[in-house]
Amino acid sequence: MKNWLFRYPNIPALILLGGVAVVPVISLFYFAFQNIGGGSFGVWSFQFTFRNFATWIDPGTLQSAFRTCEYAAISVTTEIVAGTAIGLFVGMRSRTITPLVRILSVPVMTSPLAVGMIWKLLFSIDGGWVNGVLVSKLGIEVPWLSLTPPHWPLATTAPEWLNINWGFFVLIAADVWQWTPLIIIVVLARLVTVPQSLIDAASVDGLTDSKIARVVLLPLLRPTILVLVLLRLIDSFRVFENIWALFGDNDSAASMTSLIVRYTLLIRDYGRGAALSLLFLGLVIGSLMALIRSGARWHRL
Amino acid sequence: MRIARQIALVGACLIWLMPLILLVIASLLPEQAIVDRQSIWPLTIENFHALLKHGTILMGLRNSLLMAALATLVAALVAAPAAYAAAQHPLRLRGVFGWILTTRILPPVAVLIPLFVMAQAVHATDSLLGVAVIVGAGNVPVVAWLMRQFIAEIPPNMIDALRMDGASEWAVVRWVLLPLSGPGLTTSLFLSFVLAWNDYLFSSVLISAPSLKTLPVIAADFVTGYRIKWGLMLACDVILIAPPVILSVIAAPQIAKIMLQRVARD
Repeated sequence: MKNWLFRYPNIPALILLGGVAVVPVISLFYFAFQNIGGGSFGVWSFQFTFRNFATWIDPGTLQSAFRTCEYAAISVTTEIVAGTAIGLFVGMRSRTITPLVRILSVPVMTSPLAVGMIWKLLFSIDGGWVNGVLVSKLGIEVPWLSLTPPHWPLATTAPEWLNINWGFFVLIAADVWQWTPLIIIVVLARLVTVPQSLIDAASVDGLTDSKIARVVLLPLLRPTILVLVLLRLIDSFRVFENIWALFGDNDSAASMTSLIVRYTLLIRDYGRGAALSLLFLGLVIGSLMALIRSGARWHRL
Repeated sequence: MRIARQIALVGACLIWLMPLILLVIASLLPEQAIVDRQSIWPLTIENFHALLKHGTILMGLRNSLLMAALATLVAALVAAPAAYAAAQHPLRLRGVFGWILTTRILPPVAVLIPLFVMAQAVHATDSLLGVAVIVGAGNVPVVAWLMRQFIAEIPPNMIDALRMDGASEWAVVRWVLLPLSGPGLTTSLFLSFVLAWNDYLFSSVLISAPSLKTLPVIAADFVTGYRIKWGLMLACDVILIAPPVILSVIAAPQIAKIMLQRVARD
């Protein structure tokens, strides 16, 4: 009995995660069929109902589900492509990455809520600092944190659910600003372990730097990049603080996360919130499985 | 040429850090100057002074420290044995470890409602320990994953030799596992601390007593429906992001050296 921990060291983790992850997910299925909330705390009436699932086909829900996926797809793609490119450009010839890593670690460690607030300071419509500079130097004002589409051809006529608007751009820019450095750091750290002789040999053979990056180094990085895509995708579905800080409870900018928080905190309808949580969970697991499947195919190439 | 390249790179990085630099400057401006955007001179510390007088900030610092420390403790105590099980245990129990890692996929928001209802049922709302257990549990997959890399690098022969000599399991942990995975342990604990320090979701939902609010919640409270108290909010943001940023600037090369090379190698 005394040695149970040494015999089965997994048990504490299983108990904790069972309580904080498994039990809540199971109870989501129960809550989703109940009519709870709305009243004051403690006096909930639990009644069996299907009405919560009507939220699944609500236009607002469908739009924010699409917005969540679009956000994840665009921001992760941008971060991976830009981070890998910058990492390769910097890391190919230079092995001293210490000062860079010091600076690049700063955005990664910053609280996402604080990032949202900084972005609010820079981009808010009436008092934003970026507009302050733009108005005084160029005489133009851009409605950054609004749902106005930019004056580009096609952008103004695009349907609203495509989210071609300044607010969505700023949101993605915040994510890209915060997480591209992480990709650069990991790519740099991986490149340091590549023997210099490999690069030298390729350049003696007459390959240009860009060719070396594409033909020699990128294939070496492929497993690392796959792991990064997976990790970033998982995290980009969790994004909540940025969106809450920049748009709060705005319907037309809501992600699945901020929608669920609204049902929990503001509307206090736990039944509908649970139904939405289930939809969100399905979305996350579905897209991750699709990614892993196509990633495995890419890996075999 | 090399030096020029380095300087250009660091310059580019500074542009990347511009939002944070602007945050620090803005936090040193009087409230009116932040909104007017006319000049960024003279700088004053009046926002920080007002924040201190506002009273909640010291309490927030204490709560944040306490919550993050407790969450780190929870994550470490639970993740370390699991990582050992996956890396060095005779039975390995790989499937169980894989399952532990998979829980990372679960977005915290998706289980917010059940956890909120459960916490109310057991009267665990308004408790820093309650938040710390939830946040710490959320960090278990990350911490366990990192720790496994380090524990796996310890030569199994060393552990076997000690066992052959009749050492207790505790002696193996005390004299081999802890000393040899020290740097890795510190790295995982540091990351877990920062992740918990930055938590906003659970702290804001589960804690409503003003005396228990953590720093991110206090910062968010300066944004009211009608008006943003820019000066106080930005000063609070500076205090919120300073500890992780300063620590990571000091420790980042070490972390990159001992952690990222190994993680990237897998």
